[in-house]
Amino acid sequence: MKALAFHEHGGLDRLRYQDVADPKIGAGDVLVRVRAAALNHLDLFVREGLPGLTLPMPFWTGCDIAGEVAAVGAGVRDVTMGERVAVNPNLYDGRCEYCLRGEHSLCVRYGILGEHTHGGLAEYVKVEARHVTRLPDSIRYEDAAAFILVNMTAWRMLVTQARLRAGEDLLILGVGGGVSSTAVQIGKLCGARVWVTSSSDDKLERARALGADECINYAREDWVKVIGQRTGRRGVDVVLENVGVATWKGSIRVVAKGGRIVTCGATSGPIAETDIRQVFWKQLSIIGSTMANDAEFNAVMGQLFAGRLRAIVDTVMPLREGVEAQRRLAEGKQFGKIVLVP
Amino acid sequence: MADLYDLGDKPPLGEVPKRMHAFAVRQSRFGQPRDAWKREVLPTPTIGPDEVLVYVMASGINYNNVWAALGQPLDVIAERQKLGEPEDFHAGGSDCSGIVWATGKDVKHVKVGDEVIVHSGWWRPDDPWVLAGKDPMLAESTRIWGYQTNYGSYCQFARAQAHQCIAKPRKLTWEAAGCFLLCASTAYRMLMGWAPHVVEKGDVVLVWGATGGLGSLALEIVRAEGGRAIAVVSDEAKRKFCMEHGAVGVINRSQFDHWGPMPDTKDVKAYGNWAKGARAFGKAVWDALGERTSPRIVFEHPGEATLPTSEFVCATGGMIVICAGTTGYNVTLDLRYHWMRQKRFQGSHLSNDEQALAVTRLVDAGRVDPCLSTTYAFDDLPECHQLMLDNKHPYGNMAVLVNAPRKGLGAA
Repeated sequence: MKALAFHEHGGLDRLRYQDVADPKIGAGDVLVRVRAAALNHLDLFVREGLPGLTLPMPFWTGCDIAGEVAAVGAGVRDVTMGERVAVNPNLYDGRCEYCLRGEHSLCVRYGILGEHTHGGLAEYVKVEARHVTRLPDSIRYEDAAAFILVNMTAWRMLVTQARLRAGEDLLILGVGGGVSSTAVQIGKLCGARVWVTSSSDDKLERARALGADECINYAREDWVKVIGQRTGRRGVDVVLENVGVATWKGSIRVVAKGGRIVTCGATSGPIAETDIRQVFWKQLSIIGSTMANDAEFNAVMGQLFAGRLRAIVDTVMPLREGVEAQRRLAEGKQFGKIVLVP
Repeated sequence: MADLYDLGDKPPLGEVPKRMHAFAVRQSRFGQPRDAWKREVLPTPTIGPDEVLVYVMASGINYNNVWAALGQPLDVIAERQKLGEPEDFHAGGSDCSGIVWATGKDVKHVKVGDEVIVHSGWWRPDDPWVLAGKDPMLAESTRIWGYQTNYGSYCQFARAQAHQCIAKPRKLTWEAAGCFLLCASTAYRMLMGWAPHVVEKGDVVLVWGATGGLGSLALEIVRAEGGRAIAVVSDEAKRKFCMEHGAVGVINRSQFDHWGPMPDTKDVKAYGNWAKGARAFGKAVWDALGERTSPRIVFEHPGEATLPTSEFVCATGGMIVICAGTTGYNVTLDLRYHWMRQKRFQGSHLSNDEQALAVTRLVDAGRVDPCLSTTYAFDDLPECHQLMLDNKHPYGNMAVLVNAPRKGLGAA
């Protein structure tokens, strides 16, 4: 089959659309014919190489996958040939203390399909049968693939970790990214007033179209001051903080008493100087989050299927143009997801 | 009726003399606690409709009134004057046992003659946040009673809001009942107030500063809730105290030297040394416990010196909960631990009525010891604060007798 593969870690020049061996499925697996696979920054990080991550070469990434079932392992029930499915990318051992309490993304051997095993930037992918979810006919493959990973992540961050409630104020910093942009619509679904920041008026307009209530261009305005003024100095209840060093002090200042700052990454660096007086006087929660458990995956996919959340697609491109697609992502030109179609 | 009574010389129940004995700080005396706190005769305060006067039998000693004496980091007298209060002195004290001596016209749940202890969460009764039924400890108007408010437990008659009063645990002496609630309610909110990270059966909890008032109550509460506390102390002499108060293991932190701010992660050598120290400390937790389980909750209050290590040793999906920064306030958080291990850093401050009541019930039931250390005379009060500032105070919680004539009284 064809895959967008690399034989060694490195830059975009390592990536080739090439022939690789077909995946072989076990008794508990299904083979999914990939109809759409969305890109994440994770694809770039893995291609460049992550400390401690040793991969079988050639390797190809791709964590956001939708397609149809092309083969079914001998031990699999409930999944049939030809079925339209979306793939839950969680990999876990199912036996550790965290898995036993349903917290799969805390698994001591947690991994992500497409990061730790061969992924969906290929014509076919092997998936454990329990990790395919039937796709309603009304949902396009491209939308399903574009939806999965960022929505799992944002749902866990806002609904589970930050426990965002109706009537609260949610601030999303840097609204261009995949998690941040979809967080706008999850925030609205929860009944929050949603604040967003960006240095691009264009991105702010896109966020407004998704339901953002208050848009601040941080290149022109001091976002901390503006939020302070417009909330009567109270601040916001929840901050979705994926910027890190560049915004951290502002986030601590702008969050209200009893507020929550939830983080799943830091594009400007992870080492955050913190005045802990603010943390205990204001009784803040600073919460780290990554991916989601299976229950959260199912919950957020259900919102897509019911039409309450939608996929945010930037562009759809053929898989053979994957190098160009990864370049677009690396340059941060997109709003929403870049989807590849084999 | 006289207009001033000696300590322990009771006026008729419900009759309030015009003047009273109290310890107070004045701005002209800000400095070392032994000089700043002076015994004075002050006018007995009048009370509002929702307030009570408590005839104080015994008072606890807390670190906040060391700060009040120093006038740092906050001049509490100036702060109150800005809000329109006329007094030019601070008669503090945030913990007490006593008898309700007068009640405001709206007070319903306590009456004159009730034996009570007083928790230190104070807020304006007309605060919209409070009226909305939300956690009052997050309200704008919230203050620490006897630190940010005047006429606390170092007065013969303390002024408190009625909701602060909780029935005194009957089996405790005045001094045992009066010494513990600020630390206990603070520790209880930290350990039981931040779901889903509340102490559950078998949970490992790492407790810093385990022989202080706060730390010792944390050990007691963890044990009462079925958790397993690992105590951190700074010298071997403290080991026995911790084991007696509920710890299942003790770590002496003087055997490590990686304390203080986390070095720059790009400085390979310095960061490597720090990480080595932090890993060794994590192993010491496992050794003290007897199994390779990391703490689900880390009970923090030193702050700057220890927090990076706390972040490091906290279990995946666990919580570091903090209420103070006794070694400093500037902390470097490595957010990578936060995402990849999905940890939570939680601030916590004092407690609300519900939490103060819950921990008092544990004490009343004999499941949490109030950790009374030494009981002093009223006139030793300045020296008690000095001991605290000099870090020479006895393990647990100190008490001073106010109107109680001697130790050992008040227990049913």
